[in-house]
Amino acid sequence: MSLEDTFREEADELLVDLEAALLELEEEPEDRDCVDRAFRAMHTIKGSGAMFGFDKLAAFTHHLENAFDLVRTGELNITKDLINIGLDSGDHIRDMLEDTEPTPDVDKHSAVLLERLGSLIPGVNEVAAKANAEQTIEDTEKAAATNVDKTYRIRIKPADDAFANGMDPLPILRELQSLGPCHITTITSELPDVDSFDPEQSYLAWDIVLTTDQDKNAVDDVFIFVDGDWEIGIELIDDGGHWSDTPDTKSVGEILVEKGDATHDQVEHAHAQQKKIGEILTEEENVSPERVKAALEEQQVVKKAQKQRKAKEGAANVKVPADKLDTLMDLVGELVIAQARLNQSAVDILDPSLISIAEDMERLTTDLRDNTLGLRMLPIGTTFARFRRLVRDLSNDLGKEIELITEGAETELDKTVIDKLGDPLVHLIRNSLDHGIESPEDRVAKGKSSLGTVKLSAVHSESHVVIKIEDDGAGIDPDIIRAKSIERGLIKEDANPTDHELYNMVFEAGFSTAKTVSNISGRGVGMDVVKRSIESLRGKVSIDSELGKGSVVTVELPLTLAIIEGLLIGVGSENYVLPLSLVEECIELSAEEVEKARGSRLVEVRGELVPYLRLRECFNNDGEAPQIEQIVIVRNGDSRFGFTADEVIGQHQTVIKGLGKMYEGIKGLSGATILGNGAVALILDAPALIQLAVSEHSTMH
Amino acid sequence: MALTIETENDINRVKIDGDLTIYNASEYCQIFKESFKSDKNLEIDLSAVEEVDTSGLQILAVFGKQVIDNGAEVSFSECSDDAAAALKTCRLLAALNCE
Repeated sequence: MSLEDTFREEADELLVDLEAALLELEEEPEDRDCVDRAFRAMHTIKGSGAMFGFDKLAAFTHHLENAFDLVRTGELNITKDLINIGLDSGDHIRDMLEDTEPTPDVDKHSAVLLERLGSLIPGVNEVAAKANAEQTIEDTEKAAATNVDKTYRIRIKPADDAFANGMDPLPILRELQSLGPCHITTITSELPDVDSFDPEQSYLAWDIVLTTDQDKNAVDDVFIFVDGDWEIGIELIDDGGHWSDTPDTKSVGEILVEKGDATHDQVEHAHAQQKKIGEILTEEENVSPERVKAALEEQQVVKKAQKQRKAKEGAANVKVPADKLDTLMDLVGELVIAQARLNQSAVDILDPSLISIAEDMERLTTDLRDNTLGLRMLPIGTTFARFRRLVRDLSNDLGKEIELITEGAETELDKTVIDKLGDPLVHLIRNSLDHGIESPEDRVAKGKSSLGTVKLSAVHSESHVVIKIEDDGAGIDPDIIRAKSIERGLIKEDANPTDHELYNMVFEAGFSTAKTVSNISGRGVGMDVVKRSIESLRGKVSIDSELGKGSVVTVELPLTLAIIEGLLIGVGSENYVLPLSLVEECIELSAEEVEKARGSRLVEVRGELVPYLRLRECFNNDGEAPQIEQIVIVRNGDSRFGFTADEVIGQHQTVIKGLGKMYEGIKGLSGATILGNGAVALILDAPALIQLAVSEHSTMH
Repeated sequence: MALTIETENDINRVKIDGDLTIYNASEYCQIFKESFKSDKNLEIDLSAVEEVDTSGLQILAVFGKQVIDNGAEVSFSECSDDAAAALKTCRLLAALNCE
């Protein structure tokens, strides 16, 4: 990747951040943090842009940055106009990033935007007019090279006759304070009682914990005029390094021993008792309470410094191209398969040492798998940010007042899933905006607030992520859907589907109830596409609604696409895998029971009748069914459904492999996996199989 | 410079006027020793103090500690800016349990 590309990528992320900050500012104009965030984003874009030769971009951003600097200093207020210009400028910067050969249009556009910006800021017009003139960017790139904060432990014990010699420690303390956050503890334990007190002698001492970005020389310099007989100790206790060799903060006891305030034995002794160590040390071991307090404080300062650094380090990520991650994932998949083979061999050979290695390997592989999957996880909020802009622009176009509320932006999903989820979600949100939310007048007439809300939420539920798009709009009229469904031949006239079933008709191809087709949505192509793209992610989508109150679209997605926990079952000589997340229980089915049921495929489980499908019949497996078969009961929405198999083999880490072009479209199978013995097991798509079984059943009758 | 100690019921009110530094530490100390009952609460008024150094703070610390050791309390009623800054730097208030 060239440096320019790196910059483009970085700038792209900054622009997203800028946009998010601006949109938040629109809602909360007083939020200083947002102003700072927006400013920082512009500042960095400008700085890096100039560095990589994007001079026009840098010059343009410079003006924008200036405007926001005025906001920071309070000379300019956040207004709708300013936000609009900010957003448009962000788009413009993005265009400039992509244009390798700047066209005159770009300059014109820059000038237009700057003129708009200038009109908001008194006295900037002239500057804006010269927008395209050479602009020297005098800047403080020094800021980028900030020093790392280090924490020092400083002890000061002036000489006894320090006062008499005209030395006063107070200015020294003040100077230390000027270096950075400073925790000073005055140690008064050496003070004698009043009678033997000599006011001209120094009894006090100080324990100081100083956090500063200055190096040790600067700290040493503070003591430059101090006499040699003062006891001065300066120790670095936290070097601000990225890889701290003491990742955990020290205990108070350790700190006290390190400082020589308590002996190791004293601390050990105190530790042996079930009380706060500080209390014991002061009560029984004669350690002054101030010393303990100083140690406690030191512990806290170091803890805080490390925490802050961790937060900073967290933001400093390593960037890895996605395809490398995919390769890693593939390799982990292969490793899982190889590991299964190792397990199998170890069990076959029955060698204890080999079995123990295989077990270790299994543990490591599982950890590796989980970590690798974790690497690919991204917070879904990255897509949410896109929707804020979408909602804002669309509601302006539609003349509606709509607010987007997002929840659970931190919910993590596999990167591939997130990438493919964007378009379906955009579609669903557009639908909510266009068809769901009514115009402000209609809303008021219905007694609702003129401001409509669309709520986008994501939440973890077992091995799935559930995303909901809720609106408080008009809702769906089941009667209209019914009429439309009959018209299109989707249901028979005498059919009596539930409202829920009716609502979900909207996912059928070519279905649209919108009376007018707008340029935003309503052409009836879409919902079926949404359904298909979500199903291709092994997810489910459903809709529910209440007329006049609003609708909820629920999208349920698996956490990852690559590896699942499965239940391995055997039928004849074949093996199949059911996703373990669906499995509820396994029960036995004897041949007599089958006979007794006289052909009906129902089994009674604790008083409840559960329909089941015989996989043997479904896949035409060879061999005889055993006397006692197993039924694996899976959850299917609100109901339960069983699959019979000859045997239940057990839990299996299933690496999902595609079926290849030939078998891609087969219903009821979602892939295949390779077992430890090299055999292939098909992964069953339970919901699709159930649907198939149900529709076959109804045609049979 | 002046140091006045008023005793009212169970409170010793000490008001210091002028500097509180090494130059008059001995003198102050003497006054304290002679007319100060450490079994009473101590209220210190530093509103008229112009300059404070460490030896001055040390005197307050010695007598304050004595008061605390006797189970009474130390408080500061008023402080000049300079005195407040010095107390804050040293965190003497914390050392005398009256933060």
